[in-house]
Amino acid sequence: MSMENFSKELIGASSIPIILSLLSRQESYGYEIIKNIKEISNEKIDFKEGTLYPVLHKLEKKGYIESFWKESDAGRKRKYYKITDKGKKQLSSEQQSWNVINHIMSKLWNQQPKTA
Amino acid sequence: MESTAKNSLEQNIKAWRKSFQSKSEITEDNLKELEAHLLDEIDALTEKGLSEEEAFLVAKYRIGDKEELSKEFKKVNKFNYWLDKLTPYLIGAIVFTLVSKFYSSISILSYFLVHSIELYVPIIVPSLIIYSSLILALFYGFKYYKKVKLKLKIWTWALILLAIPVFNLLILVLSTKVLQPQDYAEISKTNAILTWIGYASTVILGFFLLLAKYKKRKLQENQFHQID
Repeated sequence: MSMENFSKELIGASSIPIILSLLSRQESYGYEIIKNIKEISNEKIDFKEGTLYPVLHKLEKKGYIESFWKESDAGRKRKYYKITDKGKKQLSSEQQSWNVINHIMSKLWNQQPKTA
Repeated sequence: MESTAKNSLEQNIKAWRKSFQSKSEITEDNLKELEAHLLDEIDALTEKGLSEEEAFLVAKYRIGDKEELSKEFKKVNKFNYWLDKLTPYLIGAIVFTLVSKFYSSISILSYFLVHSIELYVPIIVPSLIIYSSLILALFYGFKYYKKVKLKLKIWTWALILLAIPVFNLLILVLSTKVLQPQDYAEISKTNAILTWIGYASTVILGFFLLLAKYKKRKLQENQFHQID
């Protein structure tokens, strides 16, 4: 994991809203999710496979996302994930919490809160 | 040249898959998912100019080894993990219960046999013949089963197992109608002998099976060291 600056707890807490946000844009599979997170974070967050898949499976168990197998044109079968209505609700409540935290941090560090 | 390279990649992936199959916390579905991931990673790396061999090694390293992965997967597949751990014990308990009931059926059956055709031998003799022919039938049945690679569905197994208590019940009902109290003494003696033979053979068989499993595991471990 090349996330030297992030604590394990922070990664653990943020992985769920990050994954749910990505999947709310479009359905995706593990490899692509890791790639997209890497791109969006400017390579600052690089999920390890051993971390991502168990999180995906946990989210599926909770009913936030659904999985299905889909074959690509080249014939490769991949397991896709897509967000459910329950997941969307969870995401919006996560967004609210993160906004509150963001607001508090910005205030404490004497910065202008971006969006609250 | 091209085809050998492809073959070796396929073989590498096969060996990689196999190294995970001993881990019950990683399900078949998880493994398929990881394999698709591995292939995607290999594609991306070969596009960057790595050879297939190199790409495989890097991709394998990035995905992580089985100990690392299974530790993470265990957290979500807990039920699966414990079920897999407990299954052999459950099967053992069921088979043991059924088989121990089976001895009494064999002794009663041989009692009928001896008395109906008026054989003047102790009933332990036909009991042992029935018992050992059943063991032989089981042994050869299993060998045949392995040879033809016949895969029985789970309900077929359940049906076979169910046949034993049904058979036992039939014999029991029959015996209570026909047998006199004094007949039971001989039957229960035979029963006890059969039970002890059963215990001994289970222990011996179990010992050899465990030994075979241990040897096989050692062999597999050595193979994986070579691949690594």
